Amino acid sequence: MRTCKEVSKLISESLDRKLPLRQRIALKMHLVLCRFCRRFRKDLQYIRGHIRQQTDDVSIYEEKLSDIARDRIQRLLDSES
Amino acid sequence: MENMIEVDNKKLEPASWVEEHGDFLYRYAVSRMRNSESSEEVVQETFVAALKHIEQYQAKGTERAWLLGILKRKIIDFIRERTRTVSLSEEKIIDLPDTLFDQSGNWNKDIQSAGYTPLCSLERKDFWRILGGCLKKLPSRQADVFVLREMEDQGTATICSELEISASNLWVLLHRARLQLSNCMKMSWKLDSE
Ligand SMILES: [Zn+2]
Repeated sequence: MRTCKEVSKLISESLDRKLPLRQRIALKMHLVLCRFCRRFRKDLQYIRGHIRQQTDDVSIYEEKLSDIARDRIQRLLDSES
Repeated sequence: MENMIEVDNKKLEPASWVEEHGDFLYRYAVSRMRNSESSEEVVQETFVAALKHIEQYQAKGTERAWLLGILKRKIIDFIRERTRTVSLSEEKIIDLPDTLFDQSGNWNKDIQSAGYTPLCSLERKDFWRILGGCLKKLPSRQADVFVLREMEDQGTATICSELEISASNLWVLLHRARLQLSNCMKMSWKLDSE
């Protein structure tokens, strides 16, 4: 029987590649029995799904290019174009 | 009629780039790089590179999408350089964070007993704010691989070759990053709602 620590690594890896059959079976069996690992997997899937849904949407950020950087870049563009 | 053609035939206008796209590109960079100074640098490099290769622009996509494509490439370059200079002590990535598991490898008691607050009920704005805050708390290399994999949707083979790390090294980094991020996001959210 694998520990939750080991299984959490399999859960993470399963997001990036197809696991070998034996690991896949071990993971499945563990998940049936362990709600904490199920919870971990669900969180990872959610984080991925949420990020991919709005990956280019940065409108919620409020940061702005500083005035100094803005002027510097503008001058650079003006001088080179 | 002439005007119509002008409009259809999209032209780039470098003079207004900073005004039109500066903040957008900067925010995108900050969300990936977590550092305002380097983000400004990368945005500047993006505009300079765009100007240099202006003849490569094909009016298929928008000006912004074209600039974003260049920025994304610059961000990967930047992260690759940063990875090279991260100290070796951060290379020691063998063991998992002890705080999350007990000695026999079970989730520790705090995590087990924490009422299940599914991350999926987070508001959109909170999600990004909390994710940003938690990314900053990770060791830089872990955060970088997470950003490349999840936010930039790069394949694992690409990440390994860009950052010159082995596949098993990458699995370990991603595992650690995800463990700590999901835990941190839950904790931050819990603190918020209390
Ligand atoms: Zn488990």
